[in-house]
Amino acid sequence: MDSLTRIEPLLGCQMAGILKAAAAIEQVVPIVHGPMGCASGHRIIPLFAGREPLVATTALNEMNMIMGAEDRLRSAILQAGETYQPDLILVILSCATSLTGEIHNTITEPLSRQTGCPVFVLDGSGIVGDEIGGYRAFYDAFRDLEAGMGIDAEKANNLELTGLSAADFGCGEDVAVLQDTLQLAIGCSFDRILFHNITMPSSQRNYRTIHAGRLWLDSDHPCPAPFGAQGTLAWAEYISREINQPLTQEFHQQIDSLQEDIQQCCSALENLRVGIEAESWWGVGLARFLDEEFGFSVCLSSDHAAMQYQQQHGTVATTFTDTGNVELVHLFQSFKTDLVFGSSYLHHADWIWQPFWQPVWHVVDEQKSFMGIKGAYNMLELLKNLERQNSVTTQKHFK
Amino acid sequence: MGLEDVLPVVLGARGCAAHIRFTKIAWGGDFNFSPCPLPFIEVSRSDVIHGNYQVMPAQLENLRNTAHKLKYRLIAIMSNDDVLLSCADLEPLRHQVQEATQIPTEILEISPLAGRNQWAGYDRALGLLYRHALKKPLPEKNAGINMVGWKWPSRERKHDIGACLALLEKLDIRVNHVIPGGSSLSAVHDSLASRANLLWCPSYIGETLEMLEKEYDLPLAGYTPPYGLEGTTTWISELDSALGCQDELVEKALHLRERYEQELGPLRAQLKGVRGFVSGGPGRLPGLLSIMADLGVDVVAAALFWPHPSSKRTFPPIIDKLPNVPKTMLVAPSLYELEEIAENEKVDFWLGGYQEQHACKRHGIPFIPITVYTKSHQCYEGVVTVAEKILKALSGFDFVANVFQSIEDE
Repeated sequence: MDSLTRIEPLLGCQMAGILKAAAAIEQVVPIVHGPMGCASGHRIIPLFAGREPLVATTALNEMNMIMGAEDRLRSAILQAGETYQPDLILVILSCATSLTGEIHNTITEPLSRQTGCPVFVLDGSGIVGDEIGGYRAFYDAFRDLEAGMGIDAEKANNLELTGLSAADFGCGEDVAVLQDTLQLAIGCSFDRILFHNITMPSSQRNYRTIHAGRLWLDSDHPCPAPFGAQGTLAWAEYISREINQPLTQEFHQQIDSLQEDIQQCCSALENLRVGIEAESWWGVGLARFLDEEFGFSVCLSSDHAAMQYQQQHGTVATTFTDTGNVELVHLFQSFKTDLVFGSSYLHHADWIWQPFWQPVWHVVDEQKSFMGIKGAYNMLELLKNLERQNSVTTQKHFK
Repeated sequence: MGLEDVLPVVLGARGCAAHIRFTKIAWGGDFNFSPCPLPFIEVSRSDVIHGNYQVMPAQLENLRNTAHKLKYRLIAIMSNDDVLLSCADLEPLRHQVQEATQIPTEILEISPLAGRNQWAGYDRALGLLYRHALKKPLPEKNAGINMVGWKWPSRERKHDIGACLALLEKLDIRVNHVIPGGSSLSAVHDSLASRANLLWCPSYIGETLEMLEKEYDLPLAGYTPPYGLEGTTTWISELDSALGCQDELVEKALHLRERYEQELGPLRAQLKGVRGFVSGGPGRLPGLLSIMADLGVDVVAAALFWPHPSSKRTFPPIIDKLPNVPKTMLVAPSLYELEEIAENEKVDFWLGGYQEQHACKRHGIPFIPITVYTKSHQCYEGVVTVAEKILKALSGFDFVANVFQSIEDE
């Protein structure tokens, strides 16, 4: 199954990616330049990031499209500037305004001066691209803005991680584990995470960039998310090489110890079949952990980068591109899946479901990360309890 | 498009499919709404410019397999903004899908740009379903009625549909069908045999239901939604008129109402002098205001999510019954306007949609969600439920400790 044959997409449109990137930044006001449905349908993204669902809209109708919608955009930007005194106004074009080709920069540049804050105009249309492309569009605009402030990446002495979103499922827990892992492995931490709990930059600061998340293939030596002993070691080694710092002895010892514990667990669990629904950095990382360290059969639905990476570095899972919802349920049923990591769409009586990727609904308990050493132990705990869970659920395929 | 045997297909942008299916999944499981596919036919910008709407054979095959596997009997293709703007003739696409799937296929020409209000979409979708049903011979009339309008399809007693069904059962009213949520195409056709269409939300009133009233002897009742003592009685009286019962139903309803009147006495006393804010759509807002009038709560401000022509008829009598005319009445409010109310009006509680809870938290206002709840706010019993919730919120209970979960006592 690939994007030429599937009928239910995994990923949303560019607008979703733009909002996911922006969701973590203080004082950003998004304005959807289009019909109100595009704005209201995406309010859930700031909610996932634990923020107020402020997604303004110019609320266009057909007549606005015919007669021109510049006036509505102009007044929306001025209103946003006056009402919220934002650090960034983020105009997101919908399918309709993307298609008409109005030149928005001619009005937004003077309005940026008038409101005293930068205005990004980004294309959020779903017929132009998916949410990975939208995230990148925001990231590029953010970088351009920083470059205009004179930041010199060549002289970097701070460390930043890119590609994440505060709207990602369990982002807070994952970020904490990533920071702990880096501290243990190299004795340092990330000074900034794009995009998680940050403010718009106002002064120069230099960063050394570690690509992850949606931007992981930007690296010359891409490394998937740090799941499992080998995955965590590989990720730490990747950063170690990037910043030219050695790994600590204690980190090696803990990895060795984890390796032994995984081996012991492996002997108790055989022939498990696992489904994963996630973007590629997370999906490939988890699939590699379960495939290589446990020997499980893994089926993965992810973005294009998952296939691209596996073509170059070896297959870790039966992979479908950009396939979601009921269509993915059917694929996982055909795969005779026992355990699924994914969104609420994959919550199903045929397997044990583990929330892993947005959208996840009705999660009240604290979510544990599966990344790093600590996360690997959380995974061992989950796997050890599978037999018990199996006895209280109606599993059909669990062996 | 919530029927079990109708497959909606989005033509255009993936985002439309992605966020609409989220709406269906988010609460659906709690209300017996089974996960269902929401396929999309992907088009590029170039396709739109050239009006080239063809489905790739592999996708067509996949669509066919899905439709047959899940036993769909009608496919409804919904176009997005770009397709609407391009004014393309979608008949070839409809024909292509119908030929490939061998399932009747219709085009539902509605997009966000086509109407700012949801009711335009409700009416178009109902129109498509009834047009399909009217192609067959009409069934013979019988004694029952239909309940019409979107609700989560659960018929459980504690949920909204269940509460309405229970009340109607006590009045000896036979409900033939609940349409459309959780229903089927055959039910839509069969519903034409009923004596009336009873709505729980007036925003479904549009060309389609009015056409059925005028041309197919299906009188409409339910301009007043069934909330509160007075509102529920009026709802029943509208049904009484539609069925020509000469107040027989109203008299039965008043007996049922008495029980709740008694229960309400102490609650009213506790809520005396309490000031609140209420928001909702064209059905829920007048309904909740009706409950506030029953409780004697002072509604300082209210907000209507989106207007419907019926609002001119539903609001005035309810506003007249409130202890005081609300100082502020907003239509299609922005979060900023709601923030101003939260900051300036110092209300004691806030009944609103989930997107309003952040303003309440900032200003320390007890918040009660009106769109996600597991114990019905409707009918006579709803007035007690809402009163108890307000009192609970005033005593410090947090209904939205988790942003995605309404926590209630069952």
